[in-house]
Parts: sequence; structure tokens; C-alpha cells
Amino acid sequence: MEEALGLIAAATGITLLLTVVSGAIGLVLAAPLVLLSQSRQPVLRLAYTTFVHIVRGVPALVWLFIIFFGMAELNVVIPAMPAAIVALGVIATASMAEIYRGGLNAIHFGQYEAGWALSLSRFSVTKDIVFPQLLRAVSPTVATYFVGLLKDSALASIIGVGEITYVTGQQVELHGNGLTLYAFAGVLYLVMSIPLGVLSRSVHSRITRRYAVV
Amino acid sequence: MSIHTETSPTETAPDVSNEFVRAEHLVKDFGQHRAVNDVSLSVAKGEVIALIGPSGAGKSTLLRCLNLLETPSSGSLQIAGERIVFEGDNLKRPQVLRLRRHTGMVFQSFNLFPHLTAAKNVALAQMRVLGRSKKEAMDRALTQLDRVGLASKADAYPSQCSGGQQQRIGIARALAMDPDLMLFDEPTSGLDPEVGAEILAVMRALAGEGTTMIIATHEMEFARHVSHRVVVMVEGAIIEEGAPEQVMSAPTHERTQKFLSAVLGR
Ligand SMILES: Nc1ncnc2c1ncn2[C@@H]1O[C@H](COP(=O)(O)OP(=O)(O)OP(=O)(O)O)[C@@H](O)[C@H]1O
Ligand SMILES: [Mg+2]
Repeated sequence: MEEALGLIAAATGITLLLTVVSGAIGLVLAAPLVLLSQSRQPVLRLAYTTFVHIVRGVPALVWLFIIFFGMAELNVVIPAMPAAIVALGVIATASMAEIYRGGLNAIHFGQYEAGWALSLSRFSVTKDIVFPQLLRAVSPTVATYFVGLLKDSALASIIGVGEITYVTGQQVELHGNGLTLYAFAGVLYLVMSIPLGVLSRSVHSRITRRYAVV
Repeated sequence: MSIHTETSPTETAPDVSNEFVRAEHLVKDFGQHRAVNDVSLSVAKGEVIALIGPSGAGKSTLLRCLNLLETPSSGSLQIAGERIVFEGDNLKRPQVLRLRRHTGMVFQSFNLFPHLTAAKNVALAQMRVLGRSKKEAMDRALTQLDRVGLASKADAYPSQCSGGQQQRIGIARALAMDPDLMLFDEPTSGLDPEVGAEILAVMRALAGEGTTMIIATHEMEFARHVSHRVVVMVEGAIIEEGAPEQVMSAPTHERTQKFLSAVLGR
């Protein structure tokens, strides 16, 4: 029993790795992606909408199967962990881009104009005016998304990634004690999500204080 | 402040031969709609111009053409010796920035940066555009905030300031760039009348100090008492201009009479 708990706890590292890496991919790649949605070219905006719709319209589990089993059928063998990272990372990219887009839309056009009227360069308007406001506006949503991603990482157990849920399943098969072991796994997820929740709330209260009137 | 604050600006009439801003045949089209129609306007250094006219006349669009937030469709513009002729897409970014550097703008909706304190709102462009050190920019920010009576709000965020205070911070932010020409787009329209009066007092002091200003306004009393010249815009065109007394009391254009009787209720 103790050995089982130890093995499950040890799988925390894989769960975190999967969450952090695919989340980071999303955080970074969503930035260039969301630029497409702001383009003056209708074709680029359409490309953005299409990509986001397709990625987010298909369940994460189905993407996981497509990338892991589907690719293998085409003789492109992707090991389970990279396959899970790609699937969750692509979904995170589309989701974060939508979060960024919401944040950008919330920034009043007058903010850009005030910057330009002060002769600020486009770069400075982006870096000094848009980006800080965007960061404050999206960070609670991003934190919430990370909590969701942490839980979604359990899907990777189905293709055999040795994360918490997978290892728990293995141990239950070997030793029984399903209720205890799965409850333990649940607690691990909860504990990991606490810092994100705290972070999200503190950032959020700071924003609401600062933006009370506007 | 300067020695002129005691004198009414209309008494210290600017030297009109000292032409400082010259817009010639400015046109701005939005698709089929001509928002600014062949506007020519000269402004002398130290002159205060009130731009009046009905809603949709093109006052805002004209002001925004003067600092190139809108690119005029044709015509030419000269400010402090920098001249641009508008024809097609010939406008180069450095030209825009050079000309814009001479102007400051105050918006009806303030448009303060909500994530920065009042002082940092005023300091930001000084550092980024004028290359002033953080210390110098903050010092000057405090000076400008003091000038509009808000030194005590230096560390407050815009959301912690009233509308009138926000607008005064907006004025300080523009002034800190040492503009040669200040553009005001209905700076008091979003405010209660008493609060608007605070803003008008600040602008009156600026006028007294010899600041060159173009003010789109619905405040007829302010236009009458503070401006040197009233310019009337209707349907994109300037239909009448002249000394405030003359335009307000004895307008020659029938459209001006109609507009004035509507706003003055007589
Ligand atoms: N970006 C734009 N796109 C299309 N039309 C515009 C745009 N900006 C202004 N217009 C149009 O140009 C005309 C002049 O507008 P403008 O805002 O300059 O008038 P105004 O004199 O400032 O009016 P108000 O007193 O209501 O502020 C209006 O008919 C307006 O609808
Ligand atoms: Mg207007």
C-alpha cells in the first residue's frame, strides 16, 4: 500500500511536466497566433478562426488518438509522452489565443490612440500600454486554464503516459484498494491546483482594485 | 506660471503674421463620406482657436488630421516648419512622427493608461520619445501635475481619480511633451458642468501663458471669452471664422445663425 502511494506520488513529476510543457507551448505559440486574428487581411483572420474552431471543436481525447494511433498508422510513430504534449499543446495554443483575443478586445482603442498621440512608437505602445494591460486582463483566465489543463493531462493515461492517473490505475489493478488510491490521486491534483487558484485570485483582486472605475 | 495669467488672453492678441500651423485644402474621406471638406486654416503662435459646429460636422476628424491620427486624403499640412503634402499612400512613418511631435492631444474620454499611476502616465512618453531619464521624467511629471493642481494625485491610479482629475492628468500628460500645438477634443463634454469649469480654468491659464491651442468645444461661453478666433464647421467645411464677438453676436452665415440659436437657445 505504502509502496503504491509512493509510486503514485512519484508520477506527479510526469503530470506536472505534461501540464507545464503543453501549457508553455500554448502560452508562447498563442501570441503569434492571435496576431492573425488582428490582421487587416481577411484571409489571415479566416485562417485564425478556422484553426481555432477545428482544434477546439474536436475533443482532446480524439486529438490524442489521432496523433498517437492515427499517425502510427501512417508509419509516423510518436511515443506516448511527446504525442500527449503535442495534442495538449496544440489545444492549449488555440485556447490561449482565444483568451488573448478576448483580452485584446477589452482594451479600448483610445488606449492606442493616446499612445500614438504622444508620439510613442508602435513597439512602445505594444510593450508599455497594450501588453501590461493584456497581462493583467488575461492572467486569471490563464491560471484557470492551467488548472483545467492539469486535470486534462489525465487523458494521457489512455495512451499509456505514466502520469498520476495511469500509475494509479496500474496500482489498483495490482493491489486493489481503488477507493483509497484514486482518492489519493484526487488529492494530489487538488494540491497542485491550489497555488494556481491562489495566484489567479490575487492577480484578479489586484486588477479589480485598479480598474474599479474604467 | 507666466506673467500673463492675470491678463485675459484676448487682450494679449497673438501676432497673426507669425504663422505656425498651416493646413491647406485638407480633405478626409471615409469611404464615400467626406468628413473634412477642403479645409484651410492658419494658426499663429500663441493663438487660441475655438472650433465649433453641430455634431458630425467633422471637428474631431479635423483635429485628428492635424496630429495625423487620421491620414488626410489630400491637401497639405505644415506645423512648425515641418510640411507634408498628402497624396495617396505617400506618407512615411518618420514624417508622421516628426510632425506629430509638435502636437499634444486631450481626448473627450481622457484615455489615461489605467495600469500606470498619474505620474507615470505623464512620464512614459517623456522617457520613450524624448529620451529623458526616469528621474527627470518623473520630476517633470510632478511639475506638470502641480501645474494642473494635482500634485497630490501623483501616485494615484486613474481609477482612483474623478473624471475632472483624470482629464487634468490627461492635460498634464500632453503638456509634458512640450508640444507647440495643443489639440483639445471636447475636453469637458464627458463631465459635470462644475467639473468642466475646473478644466476650462486650466485651459484658460494655458491660453494666458501663450499656448497655441485648437479646441473643439460646445462651451460657447468659453469660446467667446478665451479664444482669439472662432471657427465654425458644418458638414466638413469651415463656413465662417472670425473674432468671437463677431461670430457669436453677428454671424454672417445663415447656417451659423441656426447653429448658434440652437446651442444658445435664443
Ligand atoms: N473612422 C470613421 N469612419 C467612418 N466615418 C467616420 C469616422 N470618423 C468620423 N466619421 C464620420 O465623419 C463625420 C464627422 O465626424 P466627427 O466625429 O469628426 O464630427 P464632430 O464634429 O466631431 O461631431 P461631434 O460634435 O459629435 O463630436 C461624421 O459623419 C462621422 O460619422
Ligand atoms: Mg467630435
